Amino acid sequence: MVTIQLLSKRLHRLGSLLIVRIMTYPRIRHLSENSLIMDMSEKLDAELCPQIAALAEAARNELTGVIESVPCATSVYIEFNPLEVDPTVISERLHAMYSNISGHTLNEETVTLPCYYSPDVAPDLLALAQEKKMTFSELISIHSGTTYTVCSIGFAPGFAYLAGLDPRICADRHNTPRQSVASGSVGIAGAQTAVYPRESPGGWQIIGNCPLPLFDIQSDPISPLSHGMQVRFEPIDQETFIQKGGKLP
Amino acid sequence: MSALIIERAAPMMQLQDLGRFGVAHHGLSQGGPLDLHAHCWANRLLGNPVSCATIEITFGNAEFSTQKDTWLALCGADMHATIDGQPVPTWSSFLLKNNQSLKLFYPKTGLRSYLASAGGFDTPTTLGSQSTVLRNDIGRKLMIGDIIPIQETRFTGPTARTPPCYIPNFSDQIELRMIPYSETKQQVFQTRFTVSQRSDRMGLILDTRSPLPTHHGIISEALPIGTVQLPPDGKPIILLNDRQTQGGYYKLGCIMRCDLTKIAQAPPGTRVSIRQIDLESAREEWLEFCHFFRFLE
Repeated sequence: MVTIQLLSKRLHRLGSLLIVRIMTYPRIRHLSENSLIMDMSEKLDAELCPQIAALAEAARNELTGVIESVPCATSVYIEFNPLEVDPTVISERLHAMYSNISGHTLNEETVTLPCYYSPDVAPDLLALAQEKKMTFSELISIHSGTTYTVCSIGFAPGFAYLAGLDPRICADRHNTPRQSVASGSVGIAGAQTAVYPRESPGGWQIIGNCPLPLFDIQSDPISPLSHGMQVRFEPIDQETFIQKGGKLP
Repeated sequence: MSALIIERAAPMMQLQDLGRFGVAHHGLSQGGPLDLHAHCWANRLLGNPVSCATIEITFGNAEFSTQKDTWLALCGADMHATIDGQPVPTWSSFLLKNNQSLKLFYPKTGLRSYLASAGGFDTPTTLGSQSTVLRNDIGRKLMIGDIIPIQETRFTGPTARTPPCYIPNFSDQIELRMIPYSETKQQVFQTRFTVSQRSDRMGLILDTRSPLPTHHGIISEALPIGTVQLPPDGKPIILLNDRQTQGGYYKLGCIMRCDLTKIAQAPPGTRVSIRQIDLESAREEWLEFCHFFRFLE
């Protein structure tokens, strides 16, 4: 008897291991009393960003009791009022909604951000080009020649993580973050690029500056960038930079 | 219209309602009172909905006056309040008369108190909330000379007090109950921690002589309040109201919401241990809390 029980326990354990291995997406994880997350994928996939954005928006607008719905890099985060809705209902509705929007593809519309690529405003531009064994105009043409996808917004208000950086210019963060990175700074970290919407501490490699305001609590929308959008950078000269409101340090 | 005048300001004093919701996808923090239990009681004693803003007073030493007789309530850490030298009990409502002065001193135990006014403070909202979030540049610390308008009210008392069974004891040793995640390691339940000096409204940092073994980070995702993150230094951070919206550190679990009140009142040096609770029990306790304070109305 004992042996059979032991065997069945072992089999059960093996079973759970197998389940972990063949995890299917989307899947739900409950994070707290009133929050859960729906994972769409194991790894970052820019093609998924528009679907994640659409699901988060649909949940925000259509699901009773949802008080927060946040599109993340590979998931959608939901916070709810437990007096208004049960987590199992949210989970069912999310699955249903997701199958309806699975067809969403990348938005054709592209936001173009002007960028002044110059050592005047970009302390890491020359060193990074040197490290990558290219001229800095090569680096600029690679960075401005790529279309990026907003794959999450966080860290600071309006800080959009842009996926799709060309592997030739991927770069590590600084070991010690700078105390202060200027507002508008365009940075690179790992395989992502981003604009610092306001002055803050930061460890990204700064290669340019975008003079457009990317976060204003008084304006509607608060930010020109949202999850799933396509973004390109357009090189501008110093005169245009200043004309558009850019500031030299 | 009535108003509260700040005659002397505590080191950190700010307005908080339940928080700013529905804007985390722009990267904005929620804010809200660190000690939700005390905030809700302060409003309840005055017949206010819990959504009214209160003043979160950290580490006492403040003074207030009013231009008109005003009903107030003070809940949380005992700051040895007096009105014109006469003691006023904490966890109680009281009338502050025109030309009287309400003084708060340093708390001997606990860290934060919440001051509510009958009718609620009438300050402008940003994206639907009166909550101050300094790291998002929304609102600011309250300062000497500030005049905070109070909403018209017909409230005329009487004095109400929180029943003793709802008043927590603030201790120099706390136990926090954590909802575990599938990746939770048992070691966290056996480690002794102390509250670090570096803690703030973003997060409570747990110091320990035996840092926990670290793990790889995850792909960044949004984080509920109470999330216990483990950065590379092996010292857990419990994320609080002003937390960043997303994070990619390894996660140990989530402190249950009803225990966050203990964190709000734990000064640096407080000893902390963590024990496990299952999601269902934590959820039941939270539901009870929401029902009790009528989180819908």
